[in-house]
Amino acid sequence: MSKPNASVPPGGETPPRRGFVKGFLSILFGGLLPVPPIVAGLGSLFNPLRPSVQKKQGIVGGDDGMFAITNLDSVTAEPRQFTVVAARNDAWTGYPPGPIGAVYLQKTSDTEVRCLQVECPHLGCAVDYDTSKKGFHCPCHDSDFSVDGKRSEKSPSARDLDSLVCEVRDGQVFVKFQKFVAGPAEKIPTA
Amino acid sequence: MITSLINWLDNRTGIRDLMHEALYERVPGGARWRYVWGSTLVFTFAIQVITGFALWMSYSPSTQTAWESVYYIQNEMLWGWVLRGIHHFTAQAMIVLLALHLMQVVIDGAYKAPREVNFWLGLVLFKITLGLSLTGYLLPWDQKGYWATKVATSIAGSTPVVGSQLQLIAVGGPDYGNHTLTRFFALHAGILPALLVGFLVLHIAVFRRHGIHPANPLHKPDEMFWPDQVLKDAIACFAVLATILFLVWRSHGAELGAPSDPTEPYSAARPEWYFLFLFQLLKYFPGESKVIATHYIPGAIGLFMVLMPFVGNWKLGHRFNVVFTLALVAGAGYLTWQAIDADNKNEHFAHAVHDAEVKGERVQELIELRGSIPPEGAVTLLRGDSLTQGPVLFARHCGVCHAYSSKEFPVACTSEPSAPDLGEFGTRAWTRGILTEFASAKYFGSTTKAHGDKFTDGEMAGWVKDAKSKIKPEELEALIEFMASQSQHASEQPPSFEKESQGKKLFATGSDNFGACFDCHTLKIKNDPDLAEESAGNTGPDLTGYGSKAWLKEFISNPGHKRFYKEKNGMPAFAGRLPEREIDMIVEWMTRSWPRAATPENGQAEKQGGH
Repeated sequence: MSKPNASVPPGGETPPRRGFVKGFLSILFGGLLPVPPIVAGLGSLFNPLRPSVQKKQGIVGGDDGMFAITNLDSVTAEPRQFTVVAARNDAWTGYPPGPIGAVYLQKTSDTEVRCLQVECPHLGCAVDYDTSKKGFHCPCHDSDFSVDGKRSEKSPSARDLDSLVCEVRDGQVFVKFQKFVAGPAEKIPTA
Repeated sequence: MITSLINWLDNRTGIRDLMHEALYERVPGGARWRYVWGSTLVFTFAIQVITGFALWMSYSPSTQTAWESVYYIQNEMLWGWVLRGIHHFTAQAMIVLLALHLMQVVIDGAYKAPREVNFWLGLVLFKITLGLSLTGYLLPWDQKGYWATKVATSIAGSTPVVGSQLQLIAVGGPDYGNHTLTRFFALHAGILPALLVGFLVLHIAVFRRHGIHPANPLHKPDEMFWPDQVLKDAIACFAVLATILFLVWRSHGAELGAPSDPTEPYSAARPEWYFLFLFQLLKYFPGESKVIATHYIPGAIGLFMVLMPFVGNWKLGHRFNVVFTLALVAGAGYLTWQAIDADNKNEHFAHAVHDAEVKGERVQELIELRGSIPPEGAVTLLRGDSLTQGPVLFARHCGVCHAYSSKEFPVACTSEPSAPDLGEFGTRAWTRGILTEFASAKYFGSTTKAHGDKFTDGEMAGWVKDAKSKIKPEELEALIEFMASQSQHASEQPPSFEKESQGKKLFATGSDNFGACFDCHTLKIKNDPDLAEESAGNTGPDLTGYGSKAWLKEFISNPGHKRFYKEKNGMPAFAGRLPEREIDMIVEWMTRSWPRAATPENGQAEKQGGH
């Protein structure tokens, strides 16, 4: 009753061509079978690469990419951190305006402002401003930047602290908030 | 070259023998179509694992993100609707294939000794698959899944002795919520699939020990699993896949109802079709006896199926088993048909299903208008939607006195109407009615019971009676056009300027045929030579912006205000009685100005503010 496994096809020699055709067809049909679900699944896997998805995801709005940060009066000659408030999309959720990042603002003249990224261009840590040393210092790997963002000679960071486009409109400071790839000497915007 | 590579691999892994063992199984009596069902079940399970993994990458099991993440998969992810559709219809297919496989095994006697244990392993696999279907149904967290699963967990709760504890464990707490989703998801994506794989391995291993149980006498000469049975299996799987893909294409994927809302009545709750026979059975056991339908009958049937291999040892016993199994399938089929038939004849149910569809579409429309879903979840969108809530709120708060007769959204008065029918409020038809049949039952004639002849014999009624025979048709039209410019009703064409100006003149100064409206009604138009100031008489309601959202909101909030009916008022003030949000929704609904997409007809898109 049990143990039927014979390794030899029954009835002696099976005509090889018939067996070959059946085998070929089996592979053909069987091979096609997993394709639709796998392809459908790959759609989900590769979805984040789609340009339309990348565009919709993340920070929303800001006129021409510029976000209002604060009044010109609040900015001093010494760099200080200001929160960037904006709406953002995260997959299906659209968040109302809330904190999404920070920038350093400092007055370079009565009417002009310099804006620097808070994230270190080395590996992305948040950079501190040291008032006694009058410069920026990254606590992670000890990069130092002067008040205008220039890196010191021995800093591990390959480039200066990233500056951001900054405008004063009607007494309000607007910043083109964006992030740059951490690491390279070149300043490459992310996404 | 390739041969030496395979030799190298075979030396390390023994793969040649493995392949031989797997492929060259002898099939006594030849490969047959009736043997394919087991393989189709393995295939469909594999599809569920593949599509399940992909869905797992995008699904989020919490009360505020479950429906939302499924919405995203369905509408935003690349081929997401196909992925979801395949997963949904393959689940249905598995149930059908399970029934076919079970019937073949019983009819062909392949459950008898020495295959009893394998039969029981198969029964376990059957139960696990049903568990997968049940847990999966809840995960989209839509109305349909929510209410259907609530019934299932309540049934679990009615289990004798351990019911309440069982229910707490299943639901993750006293009420449906975040932990229900996390538990059901752990079961659906982790525990049950792992159990299924384990039992499947055992099932196949034990099957291979005994081999196929062929018919007696043999139909044809023996054949090999590979390629003879494999080919039949592959073709059968291909047919199953083709059917699934066709269903996916035809219905554009699985449906997604409105987000679940415990506060929203849902009369269209039904389990999936393959549980309808249980749903129908329950109808015959009302009240306390329901445990017979939910526990004892299914339990008895399950117990008998476990004993079937022993019963089948006798020839008569085997015949009985076959008849029992076929009767079971036929009985379940009959009960299913009964349930469907009863629902088809049930107007209430049809209405509820239609209502559910409307809500499901409306929430999608609201999301498209907004561009995204708020963090609190999609259910808040329907709760704040004036189109959805307007008729509900109207019925609850206004329907005591007012009817709302309209073709699209009729709301009946809950008792005898004692105030005007507001179905056409703010439209030209309404104005026409006020000016020509003020005291009719549809308008202020309804107030007589509660207010005597205060309105039906008042000043306005008198004006209407006098003007009726004398007013010229073009004068009436002009007045109506002028009032249309005040309400700017969303569902009507803007007024013609010429007629509107004519109407304004007539409003301000009247004609030989009727007294000026302005004698009693203020209607402020800035810098207008006639209407810039208050009316001299000012005994009737202020008609500035009459019928508009602003006017209606102020009016509903305080109809007795000196701006409106003053001491003559007979309507309660709703400011303070209702939250402002609800008054806003009633007003938006009554003025037909709910958010909607732009269409060629209305030419305008009233988008809700995004953030």
